[in-house]
Amino acid sequence: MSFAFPEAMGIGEIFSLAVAAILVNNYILVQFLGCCSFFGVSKKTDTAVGMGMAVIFVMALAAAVSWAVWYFILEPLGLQYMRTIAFILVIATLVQFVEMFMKKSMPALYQALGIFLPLITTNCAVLGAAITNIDSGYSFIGSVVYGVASGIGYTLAIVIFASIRERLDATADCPKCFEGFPIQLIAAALLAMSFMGFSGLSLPL
Amino acid sequence: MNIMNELKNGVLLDNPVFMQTIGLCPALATTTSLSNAIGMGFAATVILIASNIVISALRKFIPDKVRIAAFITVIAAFVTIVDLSLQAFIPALAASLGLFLPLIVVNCIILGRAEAYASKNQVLPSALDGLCMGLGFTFALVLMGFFRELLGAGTIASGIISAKGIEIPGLSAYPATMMILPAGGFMMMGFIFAALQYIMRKKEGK
Amino acid sequence: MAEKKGNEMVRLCVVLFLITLVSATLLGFVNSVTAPQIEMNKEMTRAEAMALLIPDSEFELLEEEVISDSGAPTLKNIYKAVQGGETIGYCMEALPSGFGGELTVVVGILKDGTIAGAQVTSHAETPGLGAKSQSDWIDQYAGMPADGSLAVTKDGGSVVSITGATITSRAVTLGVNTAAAYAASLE
Repeated sequence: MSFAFPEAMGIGEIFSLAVAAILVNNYILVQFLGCCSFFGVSKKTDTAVGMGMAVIFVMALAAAVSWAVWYFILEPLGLQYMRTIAFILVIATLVQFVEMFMKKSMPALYQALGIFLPLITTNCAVLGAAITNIDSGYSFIGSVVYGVASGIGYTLAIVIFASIRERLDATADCPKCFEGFPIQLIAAALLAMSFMGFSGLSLPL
Repeated sequence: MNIMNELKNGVLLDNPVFMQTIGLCPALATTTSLSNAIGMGFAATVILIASNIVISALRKFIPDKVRIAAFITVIAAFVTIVDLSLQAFIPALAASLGLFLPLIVVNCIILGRAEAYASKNQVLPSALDGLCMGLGFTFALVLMGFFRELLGAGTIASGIISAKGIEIPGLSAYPATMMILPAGGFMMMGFIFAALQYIMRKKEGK
Repeated sequence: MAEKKGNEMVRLCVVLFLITLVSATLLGFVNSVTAPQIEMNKEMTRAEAMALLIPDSEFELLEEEVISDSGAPTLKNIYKAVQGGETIGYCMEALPSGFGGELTVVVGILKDGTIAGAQVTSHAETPGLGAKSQSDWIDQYAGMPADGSLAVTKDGGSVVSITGATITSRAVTLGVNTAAAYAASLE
């Protein structure tokens, strides 16, 4: 079985990769990855920020580790079909590990982010980024940048949405049958529509 | 055990998407057409039944402390089996579901049913629970997919009945493409939820 | 007490190991059954696309993969189309990056310097927009000059873009151009 590491990527390429991941291909609003937590944890802006930070952190780590697992273990051994199972276990272990580590050495950060960590294992954004990195053949740096940028995109969307929701719950006067979840979905639709404007950005990809 | 009751619960009263609001990612992302919706629903249902059966059969053997890791391993194995089989035997469907096929592994519905039902009940009821929840999920996807395809592409069941499906005169020439774009997905789901709330309000009012 | 804890640890590990072992064995088996089929599907799609682009010919494999200069897409599976002992053109797969990832475009180029046509055989573009590259939109490439100079109308060329999917249209055009340039270098 022949295999090779992906080519190194230039600065410009990495920059446009990051911008594309944050705005053009926003994880939640364009690709629908991570929707469960998008609606679940967006009640208040502070919790949304906390969740966003935790996602950025885990996504960067998961991108790095899953890249190594793929190019040093799965691919040389010809075990490509074990990808899903290997990545999800890597992510689950990673999250557990981060949780333990944070609890011991960074109690302040753990206080802030701890409750979000278990939620991240089943956040499809993390697994989605790990798989996309491999499918697109990004280099190691490219993969980590993609992980961080997708996390930033996720945070951007969830924070904007949380601030909309705070206003929505407090002041909006909408038809009875739209109260609660339906009107949030409509708000998300309008937000997604405004993000569609970014698809006009022509990036030298 | 009443099969009809279970079915009614899974599909309507306890519908995973509409009532429990879980599994939203695939419900939004893979419902751009009826055929995709049915494909996704079918794949998820098969995995749900299989993982429920295995987890229920192993429930006394799996220690409590590592149950989540064990559940995820079992689910991931079935997801990969379905993924590979679709790629081999229905490549067109595998291509259009794309990334969301391996992502079934993090679908909250499957892990949720494993944790809430299969790990506490016997094999047969667990299989039935998987079937009912899977059908409920499929029902939600089909509803989304049908309307999004109708408005967004102006066709009904394209790729199922024939390559182009039933084309609605006028609508297929000038479709509201936005409905099959992400924004339309959120919007369609918002309207379906609103309609459900309306119906439920009326029922309660009586 | 300590012994009991040790025992529990061992039990946890053994159970997880067994589950993983069984899963891995099962997957290995399924993979061995499906892998040849998946490979065959890909080849069939390619063969069908090539037969559509340059009909009634026999195809001979020339080159498996050509990595192009920076920026240009990779070319794969370059075939020579032979009719009655005479080379009449070339078919190859170009892999340009579109909006949602890599596209696979099978391009046919005739010896007379025109494009026989193109077919998108796999993509991850947005349904309803970029995914229209698989509709009859792609037919416009047939008959265009194969000198690597094609461009979409927005960039001053003659290729009409898919509405709302300029990035996809550019990607397909780039794929066709790269393939045409390579075919020209073969002669």
